[in-house]
Amino acid sequence: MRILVVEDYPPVRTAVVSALRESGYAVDEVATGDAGLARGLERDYDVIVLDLMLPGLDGLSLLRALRERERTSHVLILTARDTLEEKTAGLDLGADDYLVKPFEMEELLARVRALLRREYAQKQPVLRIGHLEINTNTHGVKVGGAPVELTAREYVLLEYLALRTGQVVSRAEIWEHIYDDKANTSSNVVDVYIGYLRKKLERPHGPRLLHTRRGEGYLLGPVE
Amino acid sequence: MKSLRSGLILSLLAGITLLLAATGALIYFITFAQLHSEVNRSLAGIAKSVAPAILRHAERADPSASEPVSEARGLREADPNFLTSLPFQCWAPDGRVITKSVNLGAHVLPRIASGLQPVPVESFDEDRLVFRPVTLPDETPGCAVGLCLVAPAQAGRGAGQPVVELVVAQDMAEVADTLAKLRWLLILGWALTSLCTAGIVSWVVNRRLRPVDALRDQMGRMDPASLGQGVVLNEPPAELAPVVGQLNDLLLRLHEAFDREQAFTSDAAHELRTPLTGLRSTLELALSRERDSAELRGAASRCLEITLQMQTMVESLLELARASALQSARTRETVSAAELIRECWEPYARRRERRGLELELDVRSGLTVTTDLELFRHVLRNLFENSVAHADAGSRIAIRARRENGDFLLTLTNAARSAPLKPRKDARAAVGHLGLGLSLCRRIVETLGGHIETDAEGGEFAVTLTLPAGADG
Repeated sequence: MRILVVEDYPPVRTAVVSALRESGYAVDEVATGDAGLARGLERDYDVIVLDLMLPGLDGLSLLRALRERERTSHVLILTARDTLEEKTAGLDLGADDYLVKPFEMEELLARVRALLRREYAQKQPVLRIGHLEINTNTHGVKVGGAPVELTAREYVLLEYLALRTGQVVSRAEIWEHIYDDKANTSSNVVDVYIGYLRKKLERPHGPRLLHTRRGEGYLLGPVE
Repeated sequence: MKSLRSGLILSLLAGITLLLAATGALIYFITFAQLHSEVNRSLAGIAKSVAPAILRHAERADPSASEPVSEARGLREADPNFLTSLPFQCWAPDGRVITKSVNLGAHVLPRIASGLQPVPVESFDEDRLVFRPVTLPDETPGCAVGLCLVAPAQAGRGAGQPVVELVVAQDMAEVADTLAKLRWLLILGWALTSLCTAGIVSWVVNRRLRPVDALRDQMGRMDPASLGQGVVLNEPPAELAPVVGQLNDLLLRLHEAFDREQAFTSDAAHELRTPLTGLRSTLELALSRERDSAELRGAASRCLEITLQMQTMVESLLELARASALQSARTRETVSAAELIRECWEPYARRRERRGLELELDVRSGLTVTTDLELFRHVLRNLFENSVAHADAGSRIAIRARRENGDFLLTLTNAARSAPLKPRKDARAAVGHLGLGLSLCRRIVETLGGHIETDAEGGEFAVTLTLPAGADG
């Protein structure tokens, strides 16, 4: 899941970006509205965490510009302003959620998770694919009821594939949504992590969960 | 507290009541005088008509008679009714009663004509009469006329013509009764008119004071949110219109002051929320899992930095509160502008060097500024800190101070291509995070009597601070 954080106050930006990265998300960060708009137009982020009071282009103008260019990224507004007018202004312009400063980091993460589920039309926080169970709230994974330990990166890859279960997901899409600018990655990193997941999730001689479609990508779930 | 309404009603009522009383009294006294005048004229006429007969009778009377003649034939012939109705009495110059009317009985009329000059009866003159109130035998009030007559000269008669003093009285009971009735009528009329007047005056005053009542009601309903609407009166009276105008001006100024105060408090609260969020987020993140000492030290360091920023903000707020509270007691000093700018710039010199910023200072050596230096230093430091923090690395910061038409002008310009800026009301967005930033600077400079303007165009941010000639001394 790739998230863009647009916040001009460095301590808040650093804390939010760190918390999201520690949750396994790929996070890009910018400090100004103009840079945020450039990034938002450059690619479709799963979620944009947007501060309203920004130097240069303000948050609401940025949001309006994105929607005018038909960018559908889910937008979570962060602001110190909490009047009804300001809330409705943001939501009317196409924001998906609103969080008033100061906020609890856990709440921000929960709202981001909710927006991600909405992005992939998934209402339940627990995803079940065959004997695989993924709790998107706790990031807990079970196979046949037994918990499996995954690294943050492995979990995010699995969750992304699970949210798109039944669909073939290309390496480029995985790359786009799982890794941010800061990720030190090699060209076969996706294949490597798919291999890690197979080892942890699939039993020897058991049914396969992760399928490779040559030249297309990967598919999670039972194949008929 | 004196009531305008009561004052008006009582004053008008007292005035009108007094006027009515005076009018009543005037009517009464005119009537009184008129009636008495008529009575006097009537008495004079009677006296004139009976005087010849009385005089003839007096000539025939025996001077040696001890008893007065009461029923002289001549008198009865002259006026029979007169004899039976009017009391009269005649005296000889020596005081002897020549005759008197029967109805006087033992009663004696006052001898009121003794001092008068005797006049011949044929040249009877009303000016030679004297009138006086008397009490009649039945104790009723009366009026008497006195005259002194001398018989006309007759052939063959020498000197020593008889002189008679005559007093004729008339009953005044009817006149007194009429006056008494008039008196009561006037008193009753005065009382009723006063009552009606009280009602009318009260109604008129209340009606005319309705705009004042409306003003009071609207003022009573007013709250800080509705101050800007002002007072609306339908066709206010000419006396009240300028008051309402002045009041609305005052309310508008109050409304603007409230708005500014509210906006500033809101700005201040929101400005504090951002570093508070940074503090909370940093701490929550640090505590969210096991961290090594380097990570925890980094988090503590960031928290300390944020805390110092918040401390600066709080100090700025206190500074502003002090500025507002001591507005009248502020002390002004005159210093060299160049020295003051260099002094305020000093804390940011190393930071400027670290960021590779070039400083261009254009301040004439003789230029001075007169103001509250403590507050002015605060403004300059805020502006300088902001420019050092937000100017593009390796760019140039230009500070220019000059005097223009007596005003002290300071312009600070810096490149800010990385954060294109637009001039906006939002002070923080315009200058970034610098405590309470431009919002606070603006307030302080306004307190000092000046103003601040910002401009951002072509990747360059400019702040112009103006202290008018009067404000900076």
